[in-house]
Amino acid sequence: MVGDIFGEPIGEADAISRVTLAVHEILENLAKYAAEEAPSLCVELREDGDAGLIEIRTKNRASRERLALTEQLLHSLIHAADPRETYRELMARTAGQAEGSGLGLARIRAEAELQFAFEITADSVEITAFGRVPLQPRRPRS
Amino acid sequence: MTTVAIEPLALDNFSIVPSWEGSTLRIVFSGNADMDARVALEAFVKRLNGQVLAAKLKRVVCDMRDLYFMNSACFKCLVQWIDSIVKSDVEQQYSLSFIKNPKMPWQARSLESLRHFGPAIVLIKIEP
Repeated sequence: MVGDIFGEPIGEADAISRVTLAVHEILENLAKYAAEEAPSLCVELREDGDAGLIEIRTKNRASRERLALTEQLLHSLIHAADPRETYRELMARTAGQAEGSGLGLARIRAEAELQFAFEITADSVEITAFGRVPLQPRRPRS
Repeated sequence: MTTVAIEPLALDNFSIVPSWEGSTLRIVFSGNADMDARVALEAFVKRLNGQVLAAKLKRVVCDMRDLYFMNSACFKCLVQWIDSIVKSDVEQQYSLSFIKNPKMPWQARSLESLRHFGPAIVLIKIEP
């Protein structure tokens, strides 16, 4: 399971849970919206001072309509003063919408507490979800 | 108030089992609510909401303790459920009590999001 991968280096159950949620949502977004057979996904955890920096990067092609919606949503999430309130507003606005409400990305921002960066080109989007997480103390070498 | 027969939902990795405890309807979620579960969950919730309204229930308990994960598509089914209740006539509205598993931190965060969305009808509880 995804959570098992992060259990070793990340120090707290809540942080493992946040990262696991984000990876699940991004994987499902790729499965639903990527307009090609092999979109990319890279998860990187590196030391950043006394904590870790997790980065989940994806790149995939998508339709122009999907790219425009993604850009609008990510922009609002990145600049949200209160991500949980933005998330609640999105729930209210899209409750009657069958598909493509953007709740997965909003959930990553509000519940997983990760920030986003993104770049959109003519037919593709690269999204990075990132944030600091506590790391397990290093075991002394024997 | 009358009790009604609610059909369970059983998929390969996800299930919902309803039961009656006196006049309280208890719904136990188990497994992994992922993209394979969304369509069935959406249909289940719509049907259940109709039955609960018809039976004039005032409370439904959702036991999430054995739910390993719920993706945003399935989570949205719960959002739609809450939205339907809130938009019902006041006298028809009923509350949803979610029992969370403290060992699964995502549940605290996601259920709190539901409570934030429907504060008048959503309760979150811990049971041993």
